[in-house]
Amino acid sequence: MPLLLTLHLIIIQSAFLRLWKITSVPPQTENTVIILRILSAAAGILLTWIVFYLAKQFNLSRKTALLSAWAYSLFPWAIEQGRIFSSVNLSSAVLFLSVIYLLRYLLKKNNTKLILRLAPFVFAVIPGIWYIKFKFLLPIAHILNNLFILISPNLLFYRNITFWWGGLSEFGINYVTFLPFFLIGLIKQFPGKKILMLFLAWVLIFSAFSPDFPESRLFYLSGPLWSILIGTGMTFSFQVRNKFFKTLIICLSLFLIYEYGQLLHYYFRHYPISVSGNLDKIHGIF
Amino acid sequence: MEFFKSKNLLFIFLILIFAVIIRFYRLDTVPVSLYTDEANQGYNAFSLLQTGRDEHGIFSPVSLRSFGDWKPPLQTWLMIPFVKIIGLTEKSVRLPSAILGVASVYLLYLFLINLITDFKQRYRIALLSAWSLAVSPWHILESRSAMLVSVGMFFLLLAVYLFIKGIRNKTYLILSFFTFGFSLYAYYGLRVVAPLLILLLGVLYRRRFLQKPRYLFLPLAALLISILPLISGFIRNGDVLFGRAKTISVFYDRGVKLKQWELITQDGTDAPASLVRFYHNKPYLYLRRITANFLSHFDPAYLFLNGDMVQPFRIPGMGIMYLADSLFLIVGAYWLLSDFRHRPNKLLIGWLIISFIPASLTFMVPASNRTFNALVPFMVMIAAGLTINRNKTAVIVTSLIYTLATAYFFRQYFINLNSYHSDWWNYGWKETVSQTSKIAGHYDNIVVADFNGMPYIYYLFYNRYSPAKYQTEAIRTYTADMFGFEHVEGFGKYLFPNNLDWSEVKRTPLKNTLYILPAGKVMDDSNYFYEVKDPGGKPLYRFYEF
Repeated sequence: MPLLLTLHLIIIQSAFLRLWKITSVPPQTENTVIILRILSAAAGILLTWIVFYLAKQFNLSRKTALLSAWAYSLFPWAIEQGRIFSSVNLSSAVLFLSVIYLLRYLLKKNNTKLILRLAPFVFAVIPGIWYIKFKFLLPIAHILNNLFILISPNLLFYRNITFWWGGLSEFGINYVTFLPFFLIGLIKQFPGKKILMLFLAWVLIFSAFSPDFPESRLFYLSGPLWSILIGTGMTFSFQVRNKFFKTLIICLSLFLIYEYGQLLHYYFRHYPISVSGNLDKIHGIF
Repeated sequence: MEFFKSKNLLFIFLILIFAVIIRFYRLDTVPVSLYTDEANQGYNAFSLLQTGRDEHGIFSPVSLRSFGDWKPPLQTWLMIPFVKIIGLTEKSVRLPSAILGVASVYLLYLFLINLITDFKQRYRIALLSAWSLAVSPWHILESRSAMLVSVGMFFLLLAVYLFIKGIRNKTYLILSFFTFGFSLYAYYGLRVVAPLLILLLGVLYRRRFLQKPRYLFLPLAALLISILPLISGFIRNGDVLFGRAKTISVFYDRGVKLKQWELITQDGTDAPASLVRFYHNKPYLYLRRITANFLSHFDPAYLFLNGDMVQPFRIPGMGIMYLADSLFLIVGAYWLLSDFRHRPNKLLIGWLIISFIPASLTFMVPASNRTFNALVPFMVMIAAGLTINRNKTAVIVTSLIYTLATAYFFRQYFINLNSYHSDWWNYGWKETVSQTSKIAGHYDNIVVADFNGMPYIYYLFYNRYSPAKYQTEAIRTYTADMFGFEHVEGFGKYLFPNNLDWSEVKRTPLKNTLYILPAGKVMDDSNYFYEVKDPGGKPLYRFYEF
């Protein structure tokens, strides 16, 4: 299938998942502004496109870039945040758009070593300020605990602790079926894509330092990077010729479809019911 | 490398000396008290020694009914010589676990030397793994208590080691299969882990066996012989094999069924029944629960910060591994996974996955006890991660970090556990029993409220109560409580009522009777005449008389 057509189909799917019934799911609170929800959905759709270009920016194949964009389009947390007014969703679009242009400039100049040396200092600025400003609130054990929560399987695959801010409590921020692909992607990308790994590590540390953890949902910024790793893992997995491995991948893919169906059912059927009784607990524009 | 090769014996000797010191130092008093399961196994060893029967009067049991949890008997059998030599004490109960804990350190070293083919790496990784295991908080905690798993891990490791040696020598293979079978008597979880490991090893070394299928005949016969008593016990009573599994299984827990009911109710009656079943079916909900249980064992907060939340498996203020291990574990895992084609890597990854399967099928996770066999691959990963330290500065810094981490652990385990968390190990029963024995002659009845575990076992253990007498006197209903435990109602002049209502007792007390209750249940009643306190001075048990 031609590249552009596939990309368009993925974006159409992304748009459908973010816009369908946006006025009623999740239920509106007294602070809901529909136009802001639509703005957030637009950012989510744009991010699907951004993921594609970001993957290409990291010199990944077209297939990998497409699979990354597809993975992002059905990323549970991205769907959930794209259907409410979510500042972190808007920030993510702006941040990664900037990253694409920065990478385009910096990588062309072949300054990778310089970037890698400077990056820790640049990346340390915001967490550093937070730490100085809120150091009494942020003891090291607390930060470590935050960091470990962020990479806990429970948050990643089973229970989104940010459900008062749009997350679906019965699902994690990702599908458990994506885990094998993510691990394969991580192993394949680790040696060659240090910038990607550094960026992912920074988002993790950055989120753990946040004085408003977990309400700030800064970990959401890692979504596009996750998708790229999952996309890489998928590309590699589909190329392996081993029959046992192939059967396993087919089973995983079928289960992914089922899990995707489960997510949609939970989100459109059960989530409105569980949230509607607790709308008073949701603060801010929703 | 040459340095490692020539000095490795000296290094492993020093590691073993260190392992011995850590595992035997104040073995009887740290942890501060015997846990109910330890006291139970100790008394059963005493009972088997004196009468050949367990506390239930079963002759030469292949599974100990115990509290209704059907404990595998191997550790209890191993306690018998120690009970015979030094008597029924805390030390004799914990010694088999501690001895085999030290032996596991050496066995891990031998196993890795035989497993790893890369000559450059094997001595380095084997020594570092043995060291990591020797100072592992998780391993020290388990091997200093009689909680079955330390013994279980030793026999599993021995079986796999013999298997690796058996690839070239058939005698070792026969011994390996026999040990695999034997390990089923050591720990419940091994009844899942051992068969799966045999399967994994069979798949990994299939070419060897496919060439000569006859090579497997004697080993399989040895396996059959070793499990024959268990099969025979199972035929007579199914609980011998699956008694414990029934009560701790994820399928026993009602959570999944209630969740399904809630979701189906939310879908309403207007939704097509087939669609409701498609989304809310038990296979999917159980699969989700089991995978969540499985992955919970990789939660870094559990591994490196908080540890197991079940009391006797907790170490105050830290995880089951050192925080520093986290970094080297990741590097080691990357090393194993990135070179997955190699057979040793496949074996270790497979071993890790298999170790988590039994615990995934139970509730109350993550469980350090049920996943104890994962220590082997985890230690190898940490060791592999540590081998990245090549320059002198990195080695010095890493050594310094580990020295500080180990010192912190020793402080938490040898000092703070006893001083501030004695309740985690049911402290207080030794003094309670001793005090009761002094005054028991003055009363017609002694009523001990059964709120904290199983008090009867402490009375049997610390009084060295005659097993023959107890077997005839014990009053049991064999009715399991909500956790599947069976309580003893009494023996002799002792009574152990469950959930005793103190206000009711005070209205109509038994005459000339001694009542012993947990202080927490009678805080307002100051008419006690004796009080047992914990090391921090907190009241634990109170004595009342009528």
